Amino acid sequence: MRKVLLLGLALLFVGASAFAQSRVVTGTVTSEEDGLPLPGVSILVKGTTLGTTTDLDGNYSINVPEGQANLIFSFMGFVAQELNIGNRSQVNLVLKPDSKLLGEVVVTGYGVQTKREVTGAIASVGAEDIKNLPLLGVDQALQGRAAGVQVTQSSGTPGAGISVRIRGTGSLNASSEPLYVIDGVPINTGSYTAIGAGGQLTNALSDLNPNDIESMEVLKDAAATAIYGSRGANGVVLITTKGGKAGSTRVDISHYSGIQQRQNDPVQKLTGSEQVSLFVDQVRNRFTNANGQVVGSGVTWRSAEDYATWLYSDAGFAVSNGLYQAVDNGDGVRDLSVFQNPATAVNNDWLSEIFRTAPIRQTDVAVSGGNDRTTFRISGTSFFQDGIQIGSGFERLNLRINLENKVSDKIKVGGNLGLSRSTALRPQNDNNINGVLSTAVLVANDIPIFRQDGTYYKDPGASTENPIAAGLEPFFESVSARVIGNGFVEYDIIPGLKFRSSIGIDYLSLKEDRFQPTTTNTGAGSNGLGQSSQRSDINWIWENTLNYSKSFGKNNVSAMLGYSQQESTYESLFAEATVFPGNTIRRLSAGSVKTEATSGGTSWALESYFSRFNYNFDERYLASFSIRADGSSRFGEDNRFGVFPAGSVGWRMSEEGFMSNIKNVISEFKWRASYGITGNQEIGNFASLTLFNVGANYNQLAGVQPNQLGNPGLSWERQEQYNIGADIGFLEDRIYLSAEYYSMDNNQLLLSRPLVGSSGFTGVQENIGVIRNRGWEFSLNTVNIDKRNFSWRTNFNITFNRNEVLQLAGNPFAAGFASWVEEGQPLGSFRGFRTEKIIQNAEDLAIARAQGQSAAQLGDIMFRDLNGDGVLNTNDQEILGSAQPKFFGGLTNTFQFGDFDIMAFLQFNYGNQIYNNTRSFSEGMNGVFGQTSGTLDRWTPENPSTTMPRAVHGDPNNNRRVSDRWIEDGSFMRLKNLSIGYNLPSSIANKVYARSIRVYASGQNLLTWTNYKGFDPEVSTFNITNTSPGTDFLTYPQARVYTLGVNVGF
Amino acid sequence: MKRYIKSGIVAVLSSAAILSSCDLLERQQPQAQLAPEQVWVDNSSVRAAIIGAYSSLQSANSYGLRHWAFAGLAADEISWTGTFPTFGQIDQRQVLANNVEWSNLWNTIYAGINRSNNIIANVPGINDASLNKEAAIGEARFLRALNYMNLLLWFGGTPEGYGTANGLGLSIFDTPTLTPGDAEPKPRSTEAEVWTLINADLQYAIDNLPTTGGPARATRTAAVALRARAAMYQNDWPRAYELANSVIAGDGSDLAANFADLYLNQNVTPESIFELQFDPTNSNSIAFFFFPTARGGRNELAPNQGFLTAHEAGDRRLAVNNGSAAPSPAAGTTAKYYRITNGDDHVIILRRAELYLIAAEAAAKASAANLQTGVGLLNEVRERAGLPAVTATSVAELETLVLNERRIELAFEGHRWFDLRRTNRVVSTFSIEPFRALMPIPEREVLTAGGVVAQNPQY
Repeated sequence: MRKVLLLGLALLFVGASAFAQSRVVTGTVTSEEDGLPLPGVSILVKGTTLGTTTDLDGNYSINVPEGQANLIFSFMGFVAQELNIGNRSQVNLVLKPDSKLLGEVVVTGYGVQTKREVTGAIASVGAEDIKNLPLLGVDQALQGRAAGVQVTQSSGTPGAGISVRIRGTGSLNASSEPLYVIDGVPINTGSYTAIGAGGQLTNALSDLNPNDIESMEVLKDAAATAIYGSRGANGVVLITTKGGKAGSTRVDISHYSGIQQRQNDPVQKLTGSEQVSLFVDQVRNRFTNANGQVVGSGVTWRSAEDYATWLYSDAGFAVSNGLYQAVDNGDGVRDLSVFQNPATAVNNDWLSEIFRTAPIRQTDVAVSGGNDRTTFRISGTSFFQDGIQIGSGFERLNLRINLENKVSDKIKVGGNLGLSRSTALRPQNDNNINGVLSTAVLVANDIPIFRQDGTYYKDPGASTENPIAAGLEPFFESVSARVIGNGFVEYDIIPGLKFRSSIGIDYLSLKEDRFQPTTTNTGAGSNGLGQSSQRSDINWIWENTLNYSKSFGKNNVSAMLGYSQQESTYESLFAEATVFPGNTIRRLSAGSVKTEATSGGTSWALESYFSRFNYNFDERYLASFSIRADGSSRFGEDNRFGVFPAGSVGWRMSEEGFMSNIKNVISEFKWRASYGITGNQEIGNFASLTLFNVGANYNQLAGVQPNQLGNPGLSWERQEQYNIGADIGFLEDRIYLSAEYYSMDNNQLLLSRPLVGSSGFTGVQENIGVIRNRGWEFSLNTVNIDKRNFSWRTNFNITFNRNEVLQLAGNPFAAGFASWVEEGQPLGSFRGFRTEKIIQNAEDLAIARAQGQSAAQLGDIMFRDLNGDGVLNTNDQEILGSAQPKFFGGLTNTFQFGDFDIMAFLQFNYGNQIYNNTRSFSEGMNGVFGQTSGTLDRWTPENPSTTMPRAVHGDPNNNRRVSDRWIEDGSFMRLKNLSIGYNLPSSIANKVYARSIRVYASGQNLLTWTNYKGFDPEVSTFNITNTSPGTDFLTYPQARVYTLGVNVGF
Repeated sequence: MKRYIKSGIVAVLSSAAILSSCDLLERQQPQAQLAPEQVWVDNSSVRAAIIGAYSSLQSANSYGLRHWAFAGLAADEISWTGTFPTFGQIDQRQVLANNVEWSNLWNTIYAGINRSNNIIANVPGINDASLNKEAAIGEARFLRALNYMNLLLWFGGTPEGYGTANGLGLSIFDTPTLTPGDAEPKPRSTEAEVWTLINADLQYAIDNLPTTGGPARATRTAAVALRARAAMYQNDWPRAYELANSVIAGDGSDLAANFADLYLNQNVTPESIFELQFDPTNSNSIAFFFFPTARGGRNELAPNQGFLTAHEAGDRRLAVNNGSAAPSPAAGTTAKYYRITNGDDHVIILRRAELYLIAAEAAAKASAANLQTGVGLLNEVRERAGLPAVTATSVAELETLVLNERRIELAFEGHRWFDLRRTNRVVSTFSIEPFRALMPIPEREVLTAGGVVAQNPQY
């Protein structure tokens, strides 16, 4: 039957061509962009079904019936062109790339749409936006370039974590990082490190090569994310990697090299002499009694200098006439004579010792091409970076192979494979007395680097490590090996109905080795300390979708149905040994005491059904509905499946008749609205079960202990979001504005409901909290000037997000150092005391003492009795500020003059506060730590400062408690990138057989405008927590980077 | 070709169908944790639960450091030489209710109590002939008593001392917390009610514990000794004397001949009665907290200079207390905890020298007629330290002598602050407001309890 039909059809066509007169038209289609032939361009004779496509060399040949003279040339990404060929038989055509935004294709979850059809909130960042920038990770590439996306590079540590928040933080305890999907494979993100380094962790996203990225789509509202169900609530970042194009094989080689250095920051430490004077002040102010004697540690000292010597060094003592005197070691450092004459102190400069000018470079080779059946792209990249802080560095090798093959007209197969190996050298950092920057701040400048015998000089009064030893002595290497890949098959069952099945895998392995030699404080006690850890996470996913699309007149319908299974298996192995024979062998086999050996594993699985239905009438009225049902092993047995629906509508008002007469002014006007529910399943793998834990051992016997109270009802966090947006294009879309208003309530938040500690547990996991994020997003893209030899484009985006904690499980709670989570306040609020004044006279002192500051003296701080009950206690604290910015965004200007181009990118953040805990240590004047220059203005009877209290050992009045003293304005604007490029004329390029040659120079973090007093206003020491953002504690600042680069195409 | 692809699709689809949703989701199970029903099975699983209860004592928030170190730091035995502001508050006796050290100590010790409560509640239902249920429960109750006593000494009583009718107590949890509902806050009982629980637990332990297994595990002797200590704090002097005396030989023959051996050799019996064991794989960071930087420590704590000065001339214990008796001495340390390399110093919780001193004080306080008996017992301890005998002509004089002796003999073992409290000397020794004798109930506990758990006055 079918054969008969086919035969009939064939006869029909034969007949048609036999009867109609026709002529052959041939030609070549090239691209205006680079003048190269375009293969695969479809050519249609207007008003007929007759068509063809160009071959590999852009050539075509088509039979045009008599009486027909119009050909339509169309190709994805180019402006379609209709041409009256008259009676020519040779027609060559140059196609223009489609600069009109509406023609852009937008990748969505399990599909693609043209921008005009989109009804959800999606932001795109393309390869063009980030080319030639010295970016280590793909997450950095999002910074400042997409409205609603707040990217905080929490430190300058190479390869360390970066916080990405899409439309604010919507969780307390579950992850708030978006889901990343690479070519359809949801990947593992976050930190897999087993060995603590202080604050900054590793970042699984740093395994990816930004150069391989074709485009990134940020899915923001429920209409866009609900198709990812229980993983959609934090937003989704879809990453599409570059594939090959049919045509002659291209080779692209690019390289950049550069240097990095410390930015101009205001942090300045006391000189050695200033520090020693401060120490004597601290002792005198604390230990001088009413009779003028210095009484400390239960005995009376000859002088404050004697006691300071004993207290801040390893001096011994002698007793003479009942008075204790210091007996120093006479090495000239913290000797009694130095305290007596501070001018003789050593004057080191730790900060300049630990920072350096460091190299950065990347080389990238890509080969791509293909024919009408097969396309390929193979790329290899080598990235190398030393950190600006001694001891730190990162390098990475990437290989990517993307292939696609048309088996037949109906079947397509393909695969993407990305391999990487990255190595991070990670000295300890942040909240750590063995960190490099932390010790460079906290070890005073009167301590030299080395002793006379060449060994490190360790702070004799404190346990802080020598900063140079901290940077150079320990060995700490994290090596990540990663395979992310997928294979797929697509089958066109009948026209419009397509089946696709794909299997993806993300294999992540992180091997870490650390050795602390005996030259470090950590290794000295144990004769060397070695640790070795291996962690792996294997994540496979199998997805099947059925897509159908069809047009009935002006009705366009598409539908998708899908099913997927995903499983993630995590394994860990950790061993530790001490007592090594020396510092040469770092492997654990050399350690004679094996102090730890553990292995562990955990897993989760997800089974999902999902569907989407899109409808539009005449591309004017648009509607979309999606639904996903996720079953997760993480959910309690009472709540195994969650259902996440979303719907959206759009109205392209500009297509209505009443706007047709202003079409030349308002070229596009679309209204969008969406509503939907998504979830966050990052609640831990077995949080719903009552469990006993192993490892509670004693006396070499194995023990168990209760460690978790169960909750069988535990479920995903649930987000309800609506979004209203408008896209307005003026003057052929030369000015294109998108505005969005969104409101998201994240409820059923996973929260440890606090239990009284006397019950034996401190909390139980429940779904109780509610957080609201509401805000406005604007993005404005303009083509200001578009001349042949000069063009100027501007992209601007700004986001106003308001975060509020609506409900908690009971009482407000503290987090981090000064952060506070309370209903009615935004996440990231800081809470503490308010300083009233510095106690200047007896009258002030009487007031301070009467309100309970019993240890106060002149020069101490009087804190404000906020509740006015006459007693200063923990109730006299209030919200001092918030780490949430009032607005943030970015501004990119791109200029092109002939063969030159300039790109300038400004990033800004306004209205947020930072809790500068670094300063609370470096201006605390309470003990052994090195201090910064602010303390020069400290209160003394001769210098009655009103801002800096007196120096006093031990700080009995607790002047350095959490208070508004340490809260600072964190607003900043930064010239994040500036790059200048030059495309050599092709006449020159051709001389070296190159297609194109481009040279460029770029700078990163060139200028920062801020009032912040720390190293870098873009900071977060607790970089993975939701509850304590915006805290600075001895955090590694970002570098300023200058690079020179060249791109050569063959 | 096309056919192969098609059959490939069919093969993938059908093989995947094997992974039915049930399998996929249900096969994810914890790999290093147990469900409660896997814990309460037989003798060996109960033993693991008991070991878990001992393990809680090893926490750095309990005997692993802070419990005994704070008893010296708050008093005049240990100085703060480091960087933790929370330690500084304790050293300066200006503790705020939100000092995280106290919530950590509170939560850790109460978690240990819950481990005991689980054993006490679940052991009776287990069918295993090889399980000695009474001994198992006895160990759990011994540990529970020790934990409640330590909490009470910190947070309970009155500014004047312990054992009075108006003393403040603790929330009593004596059944296991199995569900969130079990964890509802409970108001604080009186001090007397807490003692009643402690006394009953110890009596059960005395009646049921084996005589062997020490000093690593609780024995009958340990239970008697701890009961004697409890009686001392309750000013129950006749009982304190009777119990302490029942354990000791009285002539010093059961004391280690050489004081330093207790710490250098470890597990020196018979003097050591209950000694918390550490080893390189289950280590503590006590020496780390005392040792100087250059030797790999964090230099946070050091023996108080005034305390070292208080040693009499010729006192053999000085070399232990100031660290010089250790094989490789370091300034600012003590030879009671010097194993910085492996962190395997033991912590002695009960030893006979303490019982000599309890008996000495209790003898005289029980009846002034026994004053000289008390002086004799005190002198046994002094003799071992190489010190001449002392004399006393009044109970008050003996109390002062015993207190001084306890300060030197039992240093770094968790007694000094509580000795000063029970003899109402905190205020006079340190010139602080009386309310500071009790540490604040952790702010977190008070807030979480929503008014059910009362804060100590004036915090």
